[in-house]
Amino acid sequence: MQRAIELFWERFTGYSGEVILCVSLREAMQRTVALTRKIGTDTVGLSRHVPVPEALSNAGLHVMHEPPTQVDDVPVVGITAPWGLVAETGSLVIHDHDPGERLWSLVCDVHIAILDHPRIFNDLDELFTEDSAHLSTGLCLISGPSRTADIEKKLVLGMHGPRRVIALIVGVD
Amino acid sequence: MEDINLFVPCLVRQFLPEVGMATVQLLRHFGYQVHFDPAQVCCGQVFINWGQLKRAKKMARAFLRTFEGPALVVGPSGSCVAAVREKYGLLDLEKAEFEQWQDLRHRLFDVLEFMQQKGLKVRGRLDARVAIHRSCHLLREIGLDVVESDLWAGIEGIRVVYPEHMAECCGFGGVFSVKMGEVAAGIGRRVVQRLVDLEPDVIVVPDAGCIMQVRSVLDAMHKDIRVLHPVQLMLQAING
Amino acid sequence: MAEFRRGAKNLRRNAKTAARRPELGAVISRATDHAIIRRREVMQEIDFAAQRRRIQQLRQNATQNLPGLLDRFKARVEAKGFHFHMAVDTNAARRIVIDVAKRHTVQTVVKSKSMLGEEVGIREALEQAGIQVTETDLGEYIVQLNHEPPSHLTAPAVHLSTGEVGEILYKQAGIGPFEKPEQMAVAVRQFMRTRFFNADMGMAGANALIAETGAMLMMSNEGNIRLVTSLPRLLVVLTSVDKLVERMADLAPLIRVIPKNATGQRITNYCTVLSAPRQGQEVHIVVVNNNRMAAAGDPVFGQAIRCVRCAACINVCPVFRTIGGHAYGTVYVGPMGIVLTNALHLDPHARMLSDACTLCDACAQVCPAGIDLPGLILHIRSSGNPRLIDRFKAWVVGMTYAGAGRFKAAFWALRLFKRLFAAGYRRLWRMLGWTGRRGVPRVAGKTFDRMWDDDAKGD
Ligand code: SF4
Repeated sequence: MQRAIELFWERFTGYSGEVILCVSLREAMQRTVALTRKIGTDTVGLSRHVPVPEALSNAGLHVMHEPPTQVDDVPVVGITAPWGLVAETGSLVIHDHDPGERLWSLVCDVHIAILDHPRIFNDLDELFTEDSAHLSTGLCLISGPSRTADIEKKLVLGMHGPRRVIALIVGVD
Repeated sequence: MEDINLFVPCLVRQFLPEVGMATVQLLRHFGYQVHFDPAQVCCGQVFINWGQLKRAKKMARAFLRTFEGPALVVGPSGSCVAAVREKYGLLDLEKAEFEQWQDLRHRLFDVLEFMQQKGLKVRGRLDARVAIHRSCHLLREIGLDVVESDLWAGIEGIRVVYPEHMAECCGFGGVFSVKMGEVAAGIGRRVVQRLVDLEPDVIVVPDAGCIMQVRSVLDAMHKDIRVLHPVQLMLQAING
Repeated sequence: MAEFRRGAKNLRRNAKTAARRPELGAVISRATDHAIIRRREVMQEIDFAAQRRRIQQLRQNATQNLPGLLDRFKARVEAKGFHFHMAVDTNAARRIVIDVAKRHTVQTVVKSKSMLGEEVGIREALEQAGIQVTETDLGEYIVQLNHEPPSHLTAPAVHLSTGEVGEILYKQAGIGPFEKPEQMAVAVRQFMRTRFFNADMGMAGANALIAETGAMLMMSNEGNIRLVTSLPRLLVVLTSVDKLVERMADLAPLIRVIPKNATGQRITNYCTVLSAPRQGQEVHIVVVNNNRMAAAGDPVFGQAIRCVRCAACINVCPVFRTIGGHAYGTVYVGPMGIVLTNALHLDPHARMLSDACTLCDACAQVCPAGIDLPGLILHIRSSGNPRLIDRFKAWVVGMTYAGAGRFKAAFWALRLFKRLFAAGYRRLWRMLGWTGRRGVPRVAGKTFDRMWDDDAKGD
């Protein structure tokens, strides 16, 4: 598992993702609050899958669950709880059928992913032979910030999706 | 002394005879008895690439007849050799010819490939910066990478350079070079420019068609850089 | 006249024009070099040969069982509440999509790039029906603004320089003027967000359809496909029958290899497996055939249907790298374009596309589906009747090549001609077609045969 995490780390950060290993969920939530404040906002979009949401509201953050109806109401930070990661490709595995997971990993400038004891897949073959409900309802592999290289192959981050993706991983060391 | 039947591709015969002679001298240097049958004809590659398979078949028949017999056949052109070995299968040969072909396939070699297989090493000296163009058929059909091969290992003073991004076609392409002349020239300009950018003393090109193309492009660019087949360069190295 | 016919017919002329613009080749080869170099690096992470075998195998299984897989896929998706439509051809596809749009009084559509969309001209069809369509992929949006088709499968605006893009965005959409790609991208993102939020309908393609589960694979780097498939209430997935694969497990090698092969990227940033309609969303899946099922059964062209549209063959093609995609005049370009257009149309006109190939074999080396592209191109070249002029040329060359004596005589004459008429010699080559910015080949003063004889005498 150590090896898988290292590979994930190397590859996810290699594609401009950020990784923070946390010893506890408590630490992950504290870091989420700190990150949010550092970014300069106090409103976050929050998926219902994120554990202990009260940690955020207790810290004074304003939490949105429902999708915004207008562009201007989209918060800067979106928080989700991916259920797995793939080492081979440096990817987070998101439960894509869930409206909150999908939305908050997509529309905000910064996507904070909290992975509490995630399933760890060494490679794509392990993931796609997995017999889980997540596979039959849909998933999304996210391997860093949204990007484009359509103008003379110049890489630009944050094309339509987030400019930053920060993975806070709990319980893997 | 082992006998070798020389296969001289038609372009070499008419446009680049010095490549043919260098091949002869190099093979003699390694102790082979070289024979040349002037009744030989084109291998038919030009017609195969043209999609004119009926004509190609006629050529192939004559070619197979010329090179019957147990002797090794060696020639300076990866693309012709590859055409005979790999593409004659498209020609719907009759049984007897098919057998001739199967027999020839295993004793027909491009000269550089032959050297590799026999472990023939050139020893000598050549103080030059040499830009190598990796011709497509030698590289991808014969499977000989002139850059990575140890053909140059015994030559002191040589500095080998090559376009590292990819081994791109020079744009010759046989009949393509006249059917789509402007495009062939456009490809050639781009690819040759890469070679020129390496600031070589000599450009080395291991196939006759490609030599013709590269020279033509250099002419139009008013660049006075020599274009040689590897066997010519090797001879120079041997002769000091 | 069908588009591919016109394209094939005008290929030589258009290719010539394109080849005379060296700046075009410079931009394209620079961009594709980038992909080629990165591909080589990232391929070191995997065993390409082994993955290629898997993909070839799984694609072969699928293409040989299209009707069965299609039935299974249909049953699965309908059970999950998707609306399934089969479209035999382009017209049927357009009709189905426009019907759906009309029924929902759709006025605006956000669309993600798909080659199939180009093949059936769905944007034009929707626009003709009075519906506003926005291409949301950055490169595709740029070429939409510039009123031209994409020039490359995975990099639609690869033929344009940064300066040209800045000008197009400014002139056509009032975005900018900007000089840097970053500024342009940010501005387009903001502008596009409103369109995403307000669109009546989303429209996407699919990279694979999984028969076993009725799921669809969609890959994008920008995130636009996820927005297209998530925000509007109504979604149309326009895809084709050759995208079918059998099992979920087949996705692993596809997701692993396609992006590496295409752009040298380890994985596409967002790989979505869409398995059920989202809450409150109506999803129509339109599966287009356009002759694919028949082509899949063809003993020669069947293998072309294995193509997974990675575009690696295009990146390495010396012809594409020089003339770009537009000169082909067809939806699919480069080696796969030549082969696929012929496989799908089995039309004598399409054969002319096979001229656009030097048979260098570079494409065959990179194809993850193991398609023998040069072999098929050669097959196309050699089937059917060549044009009269080509037959005549072949006859002339054939006559002079038919025996050693004639061969020598012909070149003896050429040598004499050169000595007598230096300018005429050059003109002769140009007439033969040795055109372009090249000098003409110099026939040697002394043939090899003479040199050999002299050498023998000297001994
Ligand atoms: S033919 Fe092969 S290399 Fe070309 S796009 Fe299709 S799968 Fe990729």
